[in-house]
Amino acid sequence: MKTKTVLAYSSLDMWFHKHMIHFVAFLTLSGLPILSEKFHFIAYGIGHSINFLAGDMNSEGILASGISFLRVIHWLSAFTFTAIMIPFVISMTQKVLTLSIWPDKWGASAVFEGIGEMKKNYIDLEHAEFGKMNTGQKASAWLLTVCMVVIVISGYILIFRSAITHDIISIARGAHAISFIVLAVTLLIHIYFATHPANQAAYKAMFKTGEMDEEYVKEHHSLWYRKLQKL
Amino acid sequence: MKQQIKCYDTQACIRCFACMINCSVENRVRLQREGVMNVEQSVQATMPHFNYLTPIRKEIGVYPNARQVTAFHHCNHCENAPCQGICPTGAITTRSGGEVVINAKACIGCQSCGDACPFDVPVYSKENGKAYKCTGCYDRVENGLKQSCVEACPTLAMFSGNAENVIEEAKKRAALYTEKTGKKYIVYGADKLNDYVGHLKWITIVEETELEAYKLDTKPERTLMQWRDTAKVAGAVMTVAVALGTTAHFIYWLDKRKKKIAEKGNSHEN
Ligand code: HEM
Ligand code: SF4
Repeated sequence: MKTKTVLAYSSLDMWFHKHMIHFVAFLTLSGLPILSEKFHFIAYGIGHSINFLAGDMNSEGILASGISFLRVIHWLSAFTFTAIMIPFVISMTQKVLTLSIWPDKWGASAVFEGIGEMKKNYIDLEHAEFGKMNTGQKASAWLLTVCMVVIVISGYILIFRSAITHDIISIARGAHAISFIVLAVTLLIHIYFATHPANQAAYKAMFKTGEMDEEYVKEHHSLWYRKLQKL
Repeated sequence: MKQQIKCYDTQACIRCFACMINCSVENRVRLQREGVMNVEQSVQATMPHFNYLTPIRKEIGVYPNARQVTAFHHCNHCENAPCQGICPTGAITTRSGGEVVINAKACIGCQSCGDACPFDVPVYSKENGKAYKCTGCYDRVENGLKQSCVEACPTLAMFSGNAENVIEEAKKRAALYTEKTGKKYIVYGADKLNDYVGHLKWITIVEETELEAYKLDTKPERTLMQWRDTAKVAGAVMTVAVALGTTAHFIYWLDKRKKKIAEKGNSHEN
């Protein structure tokens, strides 16, 4: 008998999420060597290959070739990423009020309650009362969205710099880098929880089926389950 | 090579702009020497990106006490050159004499140096897609010559040499002007301005109340770029913390789960 399932992610959600991973990976790999010399090895690797193929073994030019190439990758990825973002943003704004990013309950005590539930789940390994997203997921969804908006706006300011004053460009440059750093650290935490064996069902839903077993939802996302039943 | 410093003395300047002209000439002669352009081409082309030394003239005060001042916009060769710190290709280096120089061969024209420079110095040439700024004539200085602007100055308003000697002379002149005029003269840039730029290697003798008229910024800042530097350190620390935290949690979780399963098994047996 087929088990009853609940739709967790639409096909658009899954499609966008999958491609967002590719683009953020490209944008991060191409941005990091510009951000910090600790990541120059990426640019050296690429620059060395380019200069070798071009027959130019002048050592001054290796880093320059690598960074130039990565800038092109960064710009192209940025344009393509923006293009695929459009349908996702439209769909999100249409259903923004029904998304699980809003608190189930408002107020400071609700936040502590939410953190308490997360502790129950991840520290005590007990049953916790979660909606579709727990408090940490809601917070990270907001943080990631804000960072993404800042990154995209500041990124375009940097691309169209010739039309903009220097003060604003330098603010955009700082904002782009700072929001990237906040985003990257938040993503590391996001990836840990997403690939954690305890959350296999959600992983499968996001990357494969879009659906979760009803029994699983009842047990692990009881608040969401109750909401779904009422509908 | 010992640290070199250039000094501009606002009081001794007669506004002849020989410095600016000699700078332009030197840049053209360099192109001829390097075989990039012939004499005619190098003289006719305007090449605005080679205007390393731009005088900004203005009148201050009210008639009959009005007078001309000339602010010079140029690279200050900062001790902690923020342009050097940000350049992703390592095109910017500080020579042993302290000149902060862009290596045109390694410059890819990303304009990051301009984002970091609180004095708005590096200019981007749309013609050849590279960034330009004063080189401190390091090629001349390292071969025993004076910087071209200094060489041209007829009144020693622009002078240079080893750091200690120049700062000593500048302070002497400032003290003399203070004594003679009763107004306080200072040597802008000789002492550290802030952590972002450190001290400058192009200093200016100026009357304290006229710092603004001479466009001498005592708090050269690029706030978000400074936060960016802090965020880079914080990011590294947070990444390590996340790596340790998640590993620790995972080990803890595996262990706890084992115990939970064992507990469940026991309760079933009973
Ligand atoms: C989608 C819109 C985006 C645009 C238009 C954009 C554009 C830019 C531009 C113009 C630069 C300056 C370097 C250069 O001129 O090549 C830059 C730097 C950078 N970008 Fe992006 N970017 C975007 C998204 C992203 C994303 C999503 C990430 C990472 C998750 C990212 C990470 C970085 C990093 C780390 C740097 C180096 C920053 C620094 O050194 O200050 N960017 N970006
Ligand atoms: S424009 Fe040239 S010198 Fe300036 S930061 Fe970019 S590569 Fe370096």
